Order: sequence, then structure tokens, then C-alpha cells
Amino acid sequence: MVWPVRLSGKRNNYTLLNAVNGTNNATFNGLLNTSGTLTRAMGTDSPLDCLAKAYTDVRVGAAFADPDLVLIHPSTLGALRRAKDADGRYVLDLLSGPMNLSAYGQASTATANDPYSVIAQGANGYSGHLWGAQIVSTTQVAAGKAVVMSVKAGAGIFWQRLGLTIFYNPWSLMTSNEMFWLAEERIALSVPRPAAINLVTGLPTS
Amino acid sequence: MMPFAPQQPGVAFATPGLEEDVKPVDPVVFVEAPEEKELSMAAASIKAATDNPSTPIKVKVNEPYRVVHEGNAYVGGDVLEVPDDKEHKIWLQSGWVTKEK
Repeated sequence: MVWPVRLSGKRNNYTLLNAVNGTNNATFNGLLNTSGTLTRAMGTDSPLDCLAKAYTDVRVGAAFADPDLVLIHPSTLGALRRAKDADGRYVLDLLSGPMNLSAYGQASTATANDPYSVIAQGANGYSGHLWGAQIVSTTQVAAGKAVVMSVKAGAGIFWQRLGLTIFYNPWSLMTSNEMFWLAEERIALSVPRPAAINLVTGLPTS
Repeated sequence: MMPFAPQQPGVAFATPGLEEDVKPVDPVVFVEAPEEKELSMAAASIKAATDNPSTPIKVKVNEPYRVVHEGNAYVGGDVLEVPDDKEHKIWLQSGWVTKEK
């Protein structure tokens, strides 16, 4: 069952980011096609300075929220991780402390199963955290871009329904002891407060 | 006051006569609203276009907002033409864009 789960996750990531209402049966706009979001271009800032300002944008903007989630391309996240100070020390390690432990003392890269699933499955996909917000790296966000958002403040409400039907064809497949199974999924996204999303561009692409 | 009606073995249960209600309650009337039917996506688009027959308006995107129109993203300073409909009235009211003359 690994393949369908991974396929589902990849397709969901793409749809939730890039869906266009009315196209390909989508009934909602993905995060990147939602109007009213904030934007920030890196310009002459360093990548981490740019992201810090993106956090502030969300805090002082119409949503007045602290970001709790960052979506970012793995290559861009890698570039952030390699940022060093004048003494060659990794800046993110300096931020997160020795052994990259969180403020609560445990490793910040969580791999626990989703506790809210009916049956715990998969991994939550977090890739550490940055200034209190979880980072999720996904190739569905273009390299050089990041989505800084506050889900708690209304950046997105995600609805999902999964169904599994198992049946067999008694006229032909009983002789071969075969069964069909059909997995279906319906998802929807709503963005009640677009200003809780900040789309950051111009970050390193590799 | 209701008369006292003792109940003893062998005595049939008897309900004392009720006093006449001096303040009768009006009968409850249930008013039914017509059932709301959800429009299909195509029907909703036709209704929106019919309800808002208007010429496009030119708007300028305000910093630091980003809007998406017909699959294209526009950021602060960009000028675009959008229909003068319900969705884009929200854009104006929210301050994401400003009407251009």
C-alpha cells in the first residue's frame, strides 16, 4: 500500500497548490491561485532575512497572524541549510541549538505517524522548523519559492474523504479467487483569509 | 383549583375535568421555505454573468497583495482588466486592488 499513499500525497500536494477552479473538475483554487495573498520578493536581502520579513508581513498584515507552516522546494531548503556565518558555522544550526534540538528538547524533524488519521499511516513530512513554523519540503512548490502561511489564522481549510470498496465478480473471478478494490478520494480546499499566506519568490534555487 | 380525586384499590382511575383554558394558545403554524437548490458550476457561471452584465474594469494591484485572474498572477503595481462582478467587488473592498481610471 505504499505506492497509492505516496501517489495520493503527491497528487494532493499538486492539487492543493495549483488547482484552478473550473479546470480538470477542480471546484476550488489552489493556494498559488488564490487572490489576495501577500507576496515578497527576496531582492537584495539574504534568503533568511527575506523569510524573516515574510513572517513579519503575515504578522502585521490583515491576518495579524504568526506563521505556523512553510512550504518550500527541497533544493531551496537545502540552500537555506547551507547558509553559513563568517566562521563557517551553519546559521540554521546556530538558530536551533546544539544537535538541532527544538525548544522542547527533542529532535525537531518529526517522523511520527499522523495522530489524527483513523488508522495512523504515512509520515507527516515535516522537515524541521524555522522560527516556530513547521517546514514541509515538496517538489510541488517551484525551486526558489516558498509559501509562508498561518493555517491557524485561516490560510486553508482542507477537507478529504476517502473511500475503499472491495468487491468481486462472481461470474468469472470466483474461479480464480480474485477481488477488485476501488479506492476513491475527494478533496476540497477553502482559504478563508488569504492574507494569512505569503508567497516568497527569488530564493536560491539550488 | 382542581378537585381532589382520591384513588384507592377498586376505584377506577378518573381524571378530573379540566378547567376551561382562559388563555388558549394560538395553533402553531409551520411555514415551509422553498427548498434551495444548488446550482451547477455552469449554471452558476451563467447566473453570475446574467446578474452582473457589465463592462470590464481596469484595476491596479496594491502592494503587497497578489491576485490571480484567468490563471495569471499579478502582483503590486500590475494593471489588469477584470469583470465588474461580485468576485472582483470583493477584491476592491478588500483593498487588494484599486480602480484605475
